[in-house]
Amino acid sequence: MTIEGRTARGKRRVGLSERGVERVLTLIALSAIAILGLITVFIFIGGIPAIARTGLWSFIWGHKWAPGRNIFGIFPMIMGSLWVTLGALVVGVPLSLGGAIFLSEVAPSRAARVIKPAIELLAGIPSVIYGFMGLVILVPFIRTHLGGPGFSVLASSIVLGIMILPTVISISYDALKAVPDTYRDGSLALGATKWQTITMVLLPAARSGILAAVILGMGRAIGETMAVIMVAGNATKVPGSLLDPVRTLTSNIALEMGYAAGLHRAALFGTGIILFVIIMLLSVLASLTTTARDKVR
Amino acid sequence: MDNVGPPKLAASELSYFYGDVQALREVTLEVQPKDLLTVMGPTGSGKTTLLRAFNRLNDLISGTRMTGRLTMDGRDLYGPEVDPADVRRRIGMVFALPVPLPMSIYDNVAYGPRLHGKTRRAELDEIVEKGLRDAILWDEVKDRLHDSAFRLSGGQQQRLSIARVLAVEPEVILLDEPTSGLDPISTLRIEELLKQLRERYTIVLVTHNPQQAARVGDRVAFFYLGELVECGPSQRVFTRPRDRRTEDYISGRFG
Amino acid sequence: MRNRALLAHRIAITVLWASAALTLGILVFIIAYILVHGLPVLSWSFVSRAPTEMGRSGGILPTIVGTFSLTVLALAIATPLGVGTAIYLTEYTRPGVLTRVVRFGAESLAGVPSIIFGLFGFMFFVIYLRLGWSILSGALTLAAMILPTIIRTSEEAIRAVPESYREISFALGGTRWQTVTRAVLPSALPGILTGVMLGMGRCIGETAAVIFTAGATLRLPTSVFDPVRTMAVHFYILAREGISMRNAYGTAAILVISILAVNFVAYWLMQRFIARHS
Repeated sequence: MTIEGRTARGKRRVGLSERGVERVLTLIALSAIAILGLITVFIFIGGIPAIARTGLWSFIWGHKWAPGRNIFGIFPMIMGSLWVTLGALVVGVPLSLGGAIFLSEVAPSRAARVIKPAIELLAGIPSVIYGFMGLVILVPFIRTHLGGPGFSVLASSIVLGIMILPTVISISYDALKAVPDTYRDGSLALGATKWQTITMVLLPAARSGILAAVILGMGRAIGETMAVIMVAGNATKVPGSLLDPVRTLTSNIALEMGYAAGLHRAALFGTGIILFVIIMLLSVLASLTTTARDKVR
Repeated sequence: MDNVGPPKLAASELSYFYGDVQALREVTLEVQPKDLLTVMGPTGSGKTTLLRAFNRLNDLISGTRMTGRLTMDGRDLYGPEVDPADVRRRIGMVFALPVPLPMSIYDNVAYGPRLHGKTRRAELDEIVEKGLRDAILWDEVKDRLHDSAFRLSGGQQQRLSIARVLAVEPEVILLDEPTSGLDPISTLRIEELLKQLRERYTIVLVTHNPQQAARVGDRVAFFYLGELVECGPSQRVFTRPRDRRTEDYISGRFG
Repeated sequence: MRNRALLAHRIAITVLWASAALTLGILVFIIAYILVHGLPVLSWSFVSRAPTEMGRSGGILPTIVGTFSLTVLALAIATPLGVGTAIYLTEYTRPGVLTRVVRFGAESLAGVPSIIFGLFGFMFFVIYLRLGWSILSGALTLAAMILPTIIRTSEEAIRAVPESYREISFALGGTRWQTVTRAVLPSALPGILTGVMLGMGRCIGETAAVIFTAGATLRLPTSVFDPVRTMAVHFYILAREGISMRNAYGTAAILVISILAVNFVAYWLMQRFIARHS
């Protein structure tokens, strides 16, 4: 008589309660994907009317956003989000990498014990407070010393760059820590300085993890709403320079949702659809980078 | 030494596979009630697998496969009506690492009985005291039952593991290299304890140390690479081994 | 050649220290700035009285009630779901499609921005389920938002529990559920609570998801079906509409203090968790 080994469930004849427990837990575990499904469905239900009416192409490429005349083109907002996100990466990634490398390779344990919680604290600060700080400090500064209204791509990039620090630092840190010590020891034994080891051995080795960190930072920046509203200026034109005011996909939704109705509201949901799709693509991209890394290892 | 009735534990043509790896090869062996069987052999001979097949702990690992028959008191341990959790209560197991549960000494011993529905304080107090007495640990811990079990020494923790098993009133006790992490004095104390316990329980002791096998136990079984090489009264196996491999193992030619 | 390398190394190390210092400095600056401007505004009447003149003066009591009720309710919903999912993923999982689907759901949900949750909450809870702008709508939306956080930290906490505890419990005749509840969860508790604290912090600071689901009224709620304004929303409105910078700072100060408190407790719990398992 052959008996097949059981899977993790273990028993074949279980008491009613054990089976019941497993069923309940399975249902509970499906809640996340159920919510994701509901989000997808309801965002699409909300936004399709406007996109259908305008046509997907004109919706995405249209340069004019005039809800009063039922004209819905979100190209300026797509550009706005793009510029602001790129700016955030320019500001945030070098600083994050510096922080991550510091924590992983340079920091004495006492410094690390202070910096690590500090980064977690940075992540916990509400986005409205970041936006507020940008509003009372950055915007007047830019207006006085660099020109323009102050509400600008530059202000948004700086604020967002700071906001993505915790995300990019912690994932890059994990990627660096995952590099085996043998790499470090080997390089140092050949007479390299620590910095040479970092640039020539560790960073390349942690490359895909750092890439994933950057992609996730991008996702965070694109999705940020409240901070951006307070410093971006919200002009519905494609920004021509760093000092121009700008409106992002997120602020487009948040600013007008309060009073929008009918087709206008649907157009805001449509903006949400585009945003959602972009974020999901970034999510998939990020996980592909990590899977690639796992395969290489 | 002859018993009327079915053996307490029996394996019949038992082969066990982890995926493609065969850990046990057609093992046939019997343990009589109130016997103390020592199972010895080098690492990787399948000794642990044998124990875990008996108490169905290996059910929880996926990808395992088994042919042959395992019985207790003559009844199939893997029959369709059999509840594995009940099997594990009746066939208790003590592991090599004496890790206590992260609770007090009292709660460690009371853990098993509580699983099986005993909740009244007075009843649990009795069970805990009896378990600790039988494991010869009571005098050392009676004044600090609610201290964390981590405070005990290695030898005490292992006796606590035994007390824990005794508290659920098993019929069989399996011990998987219980003294491998202990100092010689603690080791001897546990061996003494086992000799006392075998008057009430059927015991199977796995060891990788042939000297321990010689000291403890009425019967000994020698396993090598998944095969039961030889089994018989300790006296006979150690003085007149029938198989060349047994002789090599006993004289330390491979460990 | 070696000297050039050494020089580059020294400069680089200095730059690294500088970037760490800058990061720390930004944090300290933000907290200090808010507290310096906001602490003087705080008083007993500030936290216990209702606002007057749309928040130009008076206190912020209704918003404190709002933040508190939304947070507590959201955690009450999300924690069982999150811990349950984590238990499924660690103890009841089987190789196969279902596990991958569950994991995909949890990880994707983590990346969804809060404004999308706001839109979803509005469409689904406020409109479709007819719950209207209410504490209930807001809490359900927030619960969905913090679910991935709780799943992730709970899973880590459960995985960290040594396998030997489970084996001992099974070997004594415990069922899987008994083993999970009596041997695994008690050990994983500090780690799980850390996740709950993190979720709490997010609820306290969240604005976009809340404003479209719980509303922004300044009236004290009488039931979960009433709309409510949270401190974060109040702060946003005060600051952006320029209603009262003074009260904005006061609200911000309470927000920052709450976040500091929550993070501190989470940190302390994490230390206990690490201590227990080493």
